[in-house]
Amino acid sequence: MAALPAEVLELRAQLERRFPDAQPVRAGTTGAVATGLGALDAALPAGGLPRGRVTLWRPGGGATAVLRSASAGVVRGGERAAWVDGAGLVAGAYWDMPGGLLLFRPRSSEAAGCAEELLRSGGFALVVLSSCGVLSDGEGVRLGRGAREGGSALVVVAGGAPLSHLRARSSFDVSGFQWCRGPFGEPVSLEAVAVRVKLQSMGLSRGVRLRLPVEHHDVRLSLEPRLVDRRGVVR
Amino acid sequence: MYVCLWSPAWSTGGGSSADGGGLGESGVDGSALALVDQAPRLRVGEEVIWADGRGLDAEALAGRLQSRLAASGVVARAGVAAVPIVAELAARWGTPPDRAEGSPSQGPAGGGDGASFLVKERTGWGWRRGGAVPVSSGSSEAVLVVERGGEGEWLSRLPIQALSPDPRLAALFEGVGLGTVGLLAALEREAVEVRLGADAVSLWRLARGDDRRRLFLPVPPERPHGSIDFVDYVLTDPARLVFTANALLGPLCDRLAGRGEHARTLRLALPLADGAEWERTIRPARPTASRDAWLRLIRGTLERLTVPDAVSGMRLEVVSTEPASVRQGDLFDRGFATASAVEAAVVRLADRQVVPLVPEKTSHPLIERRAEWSADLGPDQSRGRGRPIHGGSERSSEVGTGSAGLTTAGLVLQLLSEPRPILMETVARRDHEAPSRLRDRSGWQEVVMAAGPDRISGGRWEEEPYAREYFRCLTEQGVPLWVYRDGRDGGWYLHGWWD
Repeated sequence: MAALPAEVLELRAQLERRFPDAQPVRAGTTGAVATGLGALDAALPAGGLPRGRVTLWRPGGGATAVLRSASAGVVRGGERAAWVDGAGLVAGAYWDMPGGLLLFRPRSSEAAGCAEELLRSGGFALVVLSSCGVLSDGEGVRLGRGAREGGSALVVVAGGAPLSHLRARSSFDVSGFQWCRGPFGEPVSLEAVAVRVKLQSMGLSRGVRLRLPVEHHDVRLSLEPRLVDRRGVVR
Repeated sequence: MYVCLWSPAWSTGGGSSADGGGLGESGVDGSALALVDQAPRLRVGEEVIWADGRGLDAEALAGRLQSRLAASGVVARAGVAAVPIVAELAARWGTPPDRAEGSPSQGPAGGGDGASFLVKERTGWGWRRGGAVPVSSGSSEAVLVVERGGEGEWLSRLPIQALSPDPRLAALFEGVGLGTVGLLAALEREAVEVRLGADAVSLWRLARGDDRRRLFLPVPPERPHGSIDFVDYVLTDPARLVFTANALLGPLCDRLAGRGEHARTLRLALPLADGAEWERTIRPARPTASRDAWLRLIRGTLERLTVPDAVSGMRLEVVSTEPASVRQGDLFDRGFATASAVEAAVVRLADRQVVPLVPEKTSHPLIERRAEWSADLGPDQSRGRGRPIHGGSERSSEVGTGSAGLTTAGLVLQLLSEPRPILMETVARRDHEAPSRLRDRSGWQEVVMAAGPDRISGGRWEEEPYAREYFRCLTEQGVPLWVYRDGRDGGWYLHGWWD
């Protein structure tokens, strides 16, 4: 590719200095938080979720799985991650937290403030804010500023956010579902799913397809509703 | 310097003085009472009285104490030294002989007033003190000061009996020719322990001026506190009370910080106009000396204040403290550098009733009751379940072990805290009704696949029994839902989805 003229490079540098928040994520971030999913990291600018920036992830399927993987990677690297669950959707049976990953379940109205407090501490590589309702403009600005000052990668899992440098939308691809079938040929359990992730930012528009397993909890069954299941009960 | 007072009247266990005069109290205790106003710190020992002369003119203090005792009819000798054993022996034995004598059959005191002060009698293999003769209060040796650095030399000239060895040790000492303290001190510790036994080691330490007694423990500092009385007016406005609290908290927190302590509990007391007093004990999530943190808590308390009368003052008192500790650093912990900032953020959130949570897992058949959330505020909290607030490298080995949770990028169940009622159309399938179409907030959706039922029942021994038929459904939009039919009322509920 031909080298850009010096005037263009100078103009670009001036713009970056004058409007640091308006740069494409690939140019202005100090680093990235890898999700641990190779295909997705390859598609993301700088190889992961941008640090110091806000990523808006529109829920539609697989967002939690991807962000849990990213959180685990952060903790594996010796850094901290925080998960602010505004709607209390995290199931305790699935939450095996390694050290360094903190879970908060504030009220939905307090979720943004909680995330802002964590961001401003500067001690978290990744903060996930989920189920926070509709963010106001002020909350969006404060969260963005907190992420920038704290150097954290902030991911807002919501339908919309006032300010975001990277937007991701995930959805299930039904054709890629893998079912485990029973003896009658009926589906018994979902083993794996296919997820399409669409990434958008300034100067960036990519799509990636992921294949993710499905985790199931241990279902304690009884043969029919009238039978009493006393398993697991302290007598 | 320590001041030790000894009187023969105390050693005989008699009254406060030989002539029967004095304080009217029994022996050394009564004499100590007479000295209370002369020395800041006193302690009654075995036949002696100790005074803490550190930071004072110890010799003058000893003279004052002697004078007070003399006025009470008690003649006592004083020893002043930086080492307790030296001061005690100086008081008990007076001036040692100029030249060490090897045999204990020699008198302990070589002359002067000391020679007439004590008379030793040999009893078998040991020695006991007896026949005490009062020393004259005007004696030049009434106060014997052993200067710093000269303790060893001074001790070395004393006979070995000055250390009051038990009869067995006294016999051993005599047998090996240890007649003076100096000869014992010159030995190696191992030699003393091997040849004379472990008991002799303590005497060997004393002979070397190594006295480990703590006669006067450090005085605990006063708890920081502050108060103000509204003399000419009373307050009813919480905002003005917060203003007052802020003013009181400033010096209080400064004192805490200066002492290197964090307050764990603070007592807020408000005297009322009717003479009563309103009082609350405030505890932060973690001990702190932060003025902002305490002011935030006090403001929260005062905003909920309901008192029967106007407030006429305010008093703040630190009830309990703990040292401001700092965690040992770890070069390989990337999160350590920001640990204190994160802790501070977590504490601020905890003050707003938002705390990090950990699940306590059970094996209950219902998944929503299979985990109970509890607060996790750090390693010193919650029965050892707490985790360090710094980075996660120490437990990184747990990640990737293949267990459920964060080990893989898998879809997990997102559980509604309260199952949401839905409308469901079903089709007959063998012994049950399988979902075919459901209506949620987003309208009607076709169910293209339904796996189940997973039947769960029980709870007859609990408050509320349950009987549910769970189905894993896939909607036409491709969303895997977890729904169930309640066997009691026949209704359908959305319990969660995989994400």
